[in-house]
Amino acid sequence: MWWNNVETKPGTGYPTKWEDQETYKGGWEKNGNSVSLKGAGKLKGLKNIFHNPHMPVLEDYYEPWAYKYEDLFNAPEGDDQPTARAVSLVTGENIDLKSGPNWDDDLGGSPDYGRNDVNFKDLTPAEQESMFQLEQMSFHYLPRICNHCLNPACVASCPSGALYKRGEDGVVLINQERCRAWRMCVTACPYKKSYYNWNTGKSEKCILCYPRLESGQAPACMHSCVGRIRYLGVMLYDADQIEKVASSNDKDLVDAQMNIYLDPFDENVIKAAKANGIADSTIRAAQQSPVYKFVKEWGIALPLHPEFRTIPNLFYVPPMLPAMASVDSDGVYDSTTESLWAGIEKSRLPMKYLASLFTAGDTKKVEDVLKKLLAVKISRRQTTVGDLTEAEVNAALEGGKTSNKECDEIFRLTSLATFEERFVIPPAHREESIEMLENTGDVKGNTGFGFKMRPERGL
Amino acid sequence: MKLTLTIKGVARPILATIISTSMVLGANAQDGEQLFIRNCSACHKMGTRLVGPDLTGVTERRSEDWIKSFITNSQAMVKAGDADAVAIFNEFKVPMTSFPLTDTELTALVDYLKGFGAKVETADAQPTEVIEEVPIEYTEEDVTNGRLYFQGGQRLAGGGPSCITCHNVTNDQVIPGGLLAKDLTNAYGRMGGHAGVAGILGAPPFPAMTNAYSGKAALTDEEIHTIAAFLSVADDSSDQDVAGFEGESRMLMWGFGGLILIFIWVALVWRVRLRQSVKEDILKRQLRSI
Repeated sequence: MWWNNVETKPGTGYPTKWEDQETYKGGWEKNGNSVSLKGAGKLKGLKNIFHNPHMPVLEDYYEPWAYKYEDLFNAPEGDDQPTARAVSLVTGENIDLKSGPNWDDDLGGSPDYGRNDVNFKDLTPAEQESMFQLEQMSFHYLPRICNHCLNPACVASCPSGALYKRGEDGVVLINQERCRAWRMCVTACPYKKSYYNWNTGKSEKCILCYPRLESGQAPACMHSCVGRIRYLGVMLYDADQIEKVASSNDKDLVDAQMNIYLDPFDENVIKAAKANGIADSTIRAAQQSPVYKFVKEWGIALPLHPEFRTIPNLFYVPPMLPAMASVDSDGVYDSTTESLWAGIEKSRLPMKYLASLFTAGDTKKVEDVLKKLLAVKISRRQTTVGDLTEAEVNAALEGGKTSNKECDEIFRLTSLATFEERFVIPPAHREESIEMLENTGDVKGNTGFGFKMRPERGL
Repeated sequence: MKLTLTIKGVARPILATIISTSMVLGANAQDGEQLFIRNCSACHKMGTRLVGPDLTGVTERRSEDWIKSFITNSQAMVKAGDADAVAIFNEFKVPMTSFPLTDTELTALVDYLKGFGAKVETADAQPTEVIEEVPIEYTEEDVTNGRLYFQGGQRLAGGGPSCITCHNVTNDQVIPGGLLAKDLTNAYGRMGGHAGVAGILGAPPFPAMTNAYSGKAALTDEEIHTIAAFLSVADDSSDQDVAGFEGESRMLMWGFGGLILIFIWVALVWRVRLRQSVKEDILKRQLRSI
């Protein structure tokens, strides 16, 4: 179970081809003015209650294994070096490894994995082929955890009502005591981020390290990120708009989602937030939120696969991969370009490919983001090296619809950010949330932490 | 009074013995009749042959011990090879039920039978003609009603339990019954037709059955008639039932047909499903290339 995995793109990902909802039936589909689940729901759920027919199987994840290391020491003397054979952790038998986590890491086995990327569906065979030319070939990473969506399909699909989205911080969780192993969430989550645990008989997922959040710490994956590319912050949103946003047309999905997030500096928003019982500290955190800057102020972060209509709350700054060389029509390998950056049109990754990942097919939006990122690079080049002409810089700034000041801010938050700037976590005010559900007076004056129950399998 | 007083001390045990003996004796004739009605009259009737033989003058034909022994366990005698017992069994084909009566009761019964000894001469020639003369007619309705009584579809008027509670009859029209008591599929023939069945139903000689119906009013004539009618049909059709493989094979056919239909239905409803791992093609190609 990889609640948090980093995939290489292009690639099939984990589980295999998770983005292919024609196969896995995850997420929502537009249904008039609303949305309905693609693979679950009342009738479909009843039909498939005893067998959920669209779930990934073991091979789509991988069969976990360990090695028989003791053989290295205990093997009788012979002509060959002893080997530690792989042993399945499921059956305990020796196995031949067929795949594993990140099996296709860094384009490993790309004839099988890279070329089967689901996001190629809009690309012509020629465009696909060009991506695997040596000079063009590139890859980028796609870190994936649960998106803690605003419109979570997993929550909607659960027949036991075991999944819920916490009101105070939006973390989507599975109640281990209510989970009844229907596994509808495994099918419903289009990101395949709900996993079934065969040992406990319950489904599990990323909990965004909520115990850490409650004590003001960043989730472990974000805290430990070596590249320091993960940010966490508060976003205020208008919950009444969720259905409308989720059911908007494909091309409007990203814009609609961006509009659901509210400006935390707006007087009316602050007033409404207070009226809804949102603490001042939370509003303050929303104003300092790095995520708000990326997503709303600068508009350089995009949701992953918005066409699944779950309104995911994880945002990605698309990768900029400028071509360093090209092969011209005569077959001449040309590694010189007119300028340092030839412009995003010559990116190694086709815009259609990125658009399939982040904007439901709208290449314009990806281009806008990449142009802004290019402008940041050019602006910084001018600041630090100063070998560009004024016209070049201005053209880049104009193309990216940005300014030197904004470029500097983007540079600072992406490169020089401190821990406190990357993770702005307000006090959880857990006491208030608990009081909404339980009477805390019942345990007032008691000691200890109560009883911790082991999850029990089944009914 | 004086006399009484004088013998009082010594003769008390004697007196008591006399009294008890006289009670037995006094009750004898009546008890014998009661015992006969309760236990024997289902199959035996004086002067005629029913299921069993006419018992007129039996005390003269057989010894008292023989009669007692036969009543207690006739089959044991047949098995032991007693010539008379074997002859009777071969003639009537119906094994007589064993009656666990006490010696006193047996004596009373034999005494009662002795009372009919005189009529030996006259009654001897007649019996066989009587029973064959009146063939019983059953209507369709009788059979249907009988089946209802048997199955409990219609309660017995006396409030007793329905036959199916303890008895089984193998018949297409009836669900399998209890296995507590004898299987009645061929009872009609075994018991010698209507008279035997009616006799047993009118006054059940079996202790368990008597117990089951104790406190309930006896079966009415109509009930007896219809149940006998049903049993007669059940007996007649039992041969066909044994050869009822056709019915069973038909059911088997329907079962298989239904199963195939269910399979088709399942295949249609769940035709869109993941039939193999999504990675299958990738793994196949990789294994081929090794």
